[in-house]
This record gives sequence, structure tokens and C-alpha cells, in this order.
Amino acid sequence: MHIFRPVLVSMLLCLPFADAAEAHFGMLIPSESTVMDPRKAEITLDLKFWHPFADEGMDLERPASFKVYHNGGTEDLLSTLKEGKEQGHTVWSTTRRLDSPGLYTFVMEPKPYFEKEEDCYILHYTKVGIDAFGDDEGWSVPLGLKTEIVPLSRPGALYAGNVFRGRVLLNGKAAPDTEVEIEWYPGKGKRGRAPHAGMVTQTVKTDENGIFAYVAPRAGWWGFAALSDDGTRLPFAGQEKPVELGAVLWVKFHELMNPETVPQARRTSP
Amino acid sequence: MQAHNAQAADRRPTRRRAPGPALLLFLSLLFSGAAVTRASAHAVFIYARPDGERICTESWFSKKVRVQGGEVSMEDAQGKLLANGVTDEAGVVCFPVPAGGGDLRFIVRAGQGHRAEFLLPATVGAAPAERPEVPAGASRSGAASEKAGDNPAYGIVPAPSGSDGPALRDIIGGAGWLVGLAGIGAFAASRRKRD
Repeated sequence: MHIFRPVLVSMLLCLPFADAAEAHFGMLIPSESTVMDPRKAEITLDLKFWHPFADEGMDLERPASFKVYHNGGTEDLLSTLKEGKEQGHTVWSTTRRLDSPGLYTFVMEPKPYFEKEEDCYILHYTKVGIDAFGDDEGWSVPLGLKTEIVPLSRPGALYAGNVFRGRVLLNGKAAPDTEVEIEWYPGKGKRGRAPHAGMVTQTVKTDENGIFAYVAPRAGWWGFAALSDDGTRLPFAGQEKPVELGAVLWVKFHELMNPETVPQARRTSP
Repeated sequence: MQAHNAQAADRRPTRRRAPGPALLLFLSLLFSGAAVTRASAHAVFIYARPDGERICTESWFSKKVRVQGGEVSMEDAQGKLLANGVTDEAGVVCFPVPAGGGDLRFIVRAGQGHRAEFLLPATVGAAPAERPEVPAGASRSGAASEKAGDNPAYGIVPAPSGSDGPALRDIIGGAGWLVGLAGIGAFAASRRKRD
């Protein structure tokens, strides 16, 4: 029981504060969610630490690691990151050409950020997948991160209004009864409008198998942050502080367009 | 009670005969369905990239299911046919780089109405070559690509003779249809006999 006590205390101390206002999100937003045209295969990725819905920034220290997983291999992209400023806050970006078919999953592991007001560290393992040239096999395969959301709905083919399901893993095991915070990112320079502050961040909980479901009410980028505490502690000013572990996944929901009339003579399979 | 028994007795012979055609119908659906599902459940994709003096295409339904024996056409930006090829067991077929540059369109036809296109812009065509990734145990280029390389005029490349035959799933699907038709015939015959 004594093992769980610090976890419980940290949950009480740390997580409720995150609920009170808009949530912190590690952000990893690519310029394209899917690449089918080689002329658009040069992807820009923006990395930041943000309140997505409100478009309010925080400084993102140079990440501890930044990698891309593709066709069974990984590539370290940390050295490619370029520092920049947005709203006066430190952000990072890079470009990467997607030069072969397959799923490219980008993962950022930030350095732990100490939030004084919450008296805990925040560490969000952030990932996003890009389907290149029609091949996204492996989208439901865990990468083996400390904590991660493994999609159970194919992220490369989601319309607004579809159910998105995911499984939260913590140290490789399903994380039951875990809160998953969800925010819409309206885009750079845009702020979402909510009826009241309590509706900026939505929250769902995982079931006994670590599975959650959510229906995005409109198209755009949506961030899912599954928050856990496995008892990890980090020192701050001579004291051990809890660490909020976040498994963050960014998913793009698309608008279902109106159909177009196809002349019968041209009728071929898509 | 007697009437009831008589009705039941009347139904019995029909019930005994019915399972034969029904079973055949079921089997036919099972066979033909299995053959069709594999092709129609997946969209087909094609990707092209420069590979030294050639442009190589790969076509697939999935990472494991490549388009084998699929027809691939290379057209210029105006839609003029420059070359044809047939994919090998890894879904790959290569073409010589046509003279004149410009955008190139590659079209794969993979049966059952499966068709996909890929536009290779001229700007991308000048990019460094990278070999297509193919599954272990599969070769990177087949007979068609060798023939394409042998053709200095980059003209129409004849399909290899080995690819003209039906694929295994076509054979199984055809057998399913035959069994199904036989089932329908047997069912109709049984109805006629009963009447």
C-alpha cells in the first residue's frame, strides 16, 4: 500500500490542477497529415508545448529526443530541429521529406518541465503518424514508449463525427481508469471558443483494458493526452516531485465533403 | 393430430433433399466470397521513384499483398502512352527514363476494377535514387523491367507470357461460381421433381 500512497498523493496534487484550466499539451503538428503527392512530400513539423484550444504558448526546452519510426527502423532527428519563437515562446521545427511509402511516426520526448503552480513535473511523450502514399500499415502497433496511446481506429482515415478509439499503455501495459484529456487545435493564431472555461478541455477515462473512445465534433487536429503517474519522482530544489506522464497523440479528423457528380463515361474505380 | 402428422410427413422429403443444393450454394458463396474479398477489401496503390537510369514503380494492396501481374502504364503529362509493363511478384516494374523530361503518370490496373494512379513530377524525378523496399524473399525487378531496359525506344513493353494465366484467386473464384451454378441447377431440379 505504501507504494501506491505517493501515487495517490501526486494524483491529488497534480492532476486536478490540470483540469481546472486548459490543459498542457506536447504538440507535434505536421504540415500534412497524409502525403499522396510527391510535390507535397516535404513535411514541416512544429514542436511546441502549448494550450492548443486557447492557442496559448509556453516555452519548450530543446527536447530530450525526437525520432521518426518508419518501416521498422528509427532515425534520430534531434539535430535537425531549429529553434524559433511563437508568441514570444520557444518552439522548434524541422522538415523531413517522406521518400517512400509507409507510415512515418514522429515521436518527441521533451525534457521534464517543472510546473511550480502544480508542484510537479510534466513529461509528455508526444507522437503523430503520417501516412505516405497510401501505406499506413502498422498504425496500431505500439512503439514501446514509456507511455503511449495506441490507436484502435486508423488515424489516417477519420472524418469528424467518427468514433476514435485508442488504448493507453504505461510501461507497456494497458492503463485502466486513466484520464485522457482532449483538446482541439484550431490552428496557429486561432483560438477556439467554448461556452465556458470548463469546456476547453474534454476528458474521458479508459476502461479496464486501457481503452477509450471519443467522437470529434469537428474537423481539424485533435490532441489526446493520457495522464498517468507510475510513481516516478524527480528532484526539484532538494525535494522529490511527482511526474505527470503524458501519452500524447495528435490525430487529424477530416471534413466529409459533398459528393461530386461523375459522368458515366468517366466512371472508374477511385 | 393425424392431419398434422400428414403435413409433417409431406414436408420431410423436401427437407431431406434441400440440404444438398443449400450446401452447394453455401460452399459457392464461401469460395467465391473468399476470392473476391481479398481483392475488393483493399484499395490498390502505386508509387514511383527514380532509380538511376530507370523509374521503378511498386504497386500493392497491402505490405504483404503486392500486385502481381498487374499492368502498369507510363504516360506523359498529355496522357500519351510511353510504355507498359507488368508487375513482378514484389509488385515492382521499372521503366527507362523517357527522353524529354516532364511529369509522368503511372497507372496500375490490378483486375476487378482496381486502378490507381501516381503522378511523378519532373522536379521529383531529378531527386536522388532510392531503391524501393520490397518484402524479404521477393526480387526487386521482374522480367518486365528487364524488357523495359532492353527497349531503347521506350515503346510498348509486351507482358511476360507467364503473367497471362489466371491468378490462384481467380481459379478459386471461378470454381466457386461453378459450384454455385451447379447448386442452383440441383435446387431447381429438386423443385421440379417435387412438383
